[in-house]
Amino acid sequence: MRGPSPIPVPVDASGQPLGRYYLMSPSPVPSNSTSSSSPNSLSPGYLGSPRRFSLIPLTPDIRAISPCNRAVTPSDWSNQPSSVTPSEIVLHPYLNDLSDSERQWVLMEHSRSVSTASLGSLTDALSPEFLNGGDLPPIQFNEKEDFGSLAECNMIGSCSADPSGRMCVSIACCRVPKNTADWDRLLRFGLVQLDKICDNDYSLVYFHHGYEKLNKPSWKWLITCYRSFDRKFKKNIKAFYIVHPSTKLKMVFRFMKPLVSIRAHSKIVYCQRLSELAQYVMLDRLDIPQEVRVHDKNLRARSVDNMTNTTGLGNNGKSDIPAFSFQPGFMRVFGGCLSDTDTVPLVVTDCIQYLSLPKNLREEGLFRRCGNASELKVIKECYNTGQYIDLSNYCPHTIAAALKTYLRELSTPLLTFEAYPTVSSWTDFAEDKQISLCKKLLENIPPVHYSCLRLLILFLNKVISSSAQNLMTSQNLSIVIGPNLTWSRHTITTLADINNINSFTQFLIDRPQLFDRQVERDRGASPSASVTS
Amino acid sequence: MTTNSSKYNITVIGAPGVGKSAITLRLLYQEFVDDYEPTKLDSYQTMMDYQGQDVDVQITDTAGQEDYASVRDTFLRSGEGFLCVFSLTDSDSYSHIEELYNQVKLAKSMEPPQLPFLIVGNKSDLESSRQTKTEDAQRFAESLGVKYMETSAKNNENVTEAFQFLIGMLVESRSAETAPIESNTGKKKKKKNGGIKRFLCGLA
Repeated sequence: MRGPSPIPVPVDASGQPLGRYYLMSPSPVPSNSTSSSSPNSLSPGYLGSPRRFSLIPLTPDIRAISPCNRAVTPSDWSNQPSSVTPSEIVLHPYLNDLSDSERQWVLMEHSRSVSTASLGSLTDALSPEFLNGGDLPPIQFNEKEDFGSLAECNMIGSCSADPSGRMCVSIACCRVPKNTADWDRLLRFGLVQLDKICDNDYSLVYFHHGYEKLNKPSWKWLITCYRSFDRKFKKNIKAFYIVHPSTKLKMVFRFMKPLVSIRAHSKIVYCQRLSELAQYVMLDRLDIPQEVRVHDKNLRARSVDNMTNTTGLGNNGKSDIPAFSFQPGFMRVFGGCLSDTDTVPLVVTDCIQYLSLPKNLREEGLFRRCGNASELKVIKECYNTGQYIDLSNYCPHTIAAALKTYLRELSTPLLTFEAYPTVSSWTDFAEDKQISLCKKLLENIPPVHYSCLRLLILFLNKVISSSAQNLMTSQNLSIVIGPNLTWSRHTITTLADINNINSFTQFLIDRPQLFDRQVERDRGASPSASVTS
Repeated sequence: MTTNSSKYNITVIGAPGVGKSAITLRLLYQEFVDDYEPTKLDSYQTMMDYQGQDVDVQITDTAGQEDYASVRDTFLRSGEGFLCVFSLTDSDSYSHIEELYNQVKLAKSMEPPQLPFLIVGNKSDLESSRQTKTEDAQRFAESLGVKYMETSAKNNENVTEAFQFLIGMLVESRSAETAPIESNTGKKKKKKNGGIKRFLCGLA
């Protein structure tokens, strides 16, 4: 029988494993690197991918492990230190026993290889707390614990800012209470917050700015942190964006690199600017602390200064026009916020006007079929940059897709976040209660949201009136429109939620009279009510 | 005849309105359902015959709309075999294939030939309004390293064959996985050391 064999673990007389084991990459341990005292204990074993990991038992005379998994023994220090390539040296727990000069050597070699010689983090990392961290038990948490003020500081936020629909968790360093004494409580708070989200794929955004101001957590606590996050947290994380990383932070991660798999390391994305982050997540949906925004602005101003002083070329060759901008006057349409304007946005009226043409209304599968992706991109670009675009050059399906995309990418959904709890449990309400609930809901949404929704529902009724040709009944329409009208800021929308949202949407479509003038007058003057096509 | 107790999961993906549900329902009920209703997500269990063996198959029929991307993504990850459908009469649905393919590749972190992925051009009965040439689709599939088939849910052409092909790939990949380790119990073999790999992945 070939294939990966079980890991040979030396055991003592009682069957207990001998010593502690250390996982290493990338190649198996050459047998000649063993110290003569324990020739058998270094038989390479395989864990996970056979090519990638090998197992080195830790014996007291191994002090560090070189990139080719050579075990470094004290004689290496005294005899020929240069024989070990130190670039990826990993220190192991026995490093505690090193003498000062030996420790100095490792630090020196390591700092040479990483070039950014901020030794602070390394020295921290070598502290006994860090190295003994392996014995720290994971912390337990209780969902019902009351965190009081911690919950109010908004340091952990979650939203569906990822374009692929994943949940996106943001952690803001600058919002961690300044004088935290009870770090464990903080950790329990984090665990409770993340527990539900992490049942599914998620990405994590970490704003490092503001780190200096707080009292720093101990390494011991960080290790406890790591151990407390159980498998699902680690398995389901799809990307880890670190915004405004400091050199020190990057060093720490680099230091950890040999400990984690290549795949894990590839999930980390450093974003020097918010504009870089904008390539991956929708910033408008993300709760970004004001301090972070200001910091980013300062950084940008500084880099612009540098650029004008020097050759004029950006250091990484990228254009300096960020995907996300704070310049006043620049307003994103797609991915923007409806409340920024007083009137129904042009993109909505344009699309509805074009689709209301009789020949377009008769198009089979209107709003169901997908449009042309590249054309959709052009349309988005035109609206976002304020260019004129003649929609009649495009296929109605693309325009319908553009309208749906616009609604889906709003930073606040058309029905608002506040409506979500009601809408996502719509079928739980008795039918006689639904009308009054719906009226109340419509009264509470901002005027511009209301006008927009009214326009949309009245238009969808036109679509239905041609359902003999386009095959789109109110039920079909609600299935394809519903998910774009509301979503939760905090949780993943499940299929059951969507079913409820769709029933609500169908409820609205079937009752255009809810949007009668009468209702409108009750809620006061509504701007742009005249915009009907 | 032996019965294999393990279940195979086939996920049907593709742009909206290309006939994903029609293909699925044709396979399951041997009839052409021409209801016009967008799918949100449907899951079916069935038994299929593969080389004289009964295999348990779970078929997940997904929504094509981007509006359901969040729901669909979960199923991309849990799916094993992917039947990627486009409509021969809709070139937009054809151009959608590549994006879907990349999403699956990312979700499964696998690539062909290990990744059981089949591109299917449906509605071959509507020859007069065809927009995608067989050769073009064939060449495109080859460039991705996957197979291509043309089906008609209406005339029941190639539907069973398409599913059979994927089942074949799944059965083979699973037996290749378990063979060298010689499972003595004959029960489902869990991926070895998956825990440790995940542990390492999680570190970052």
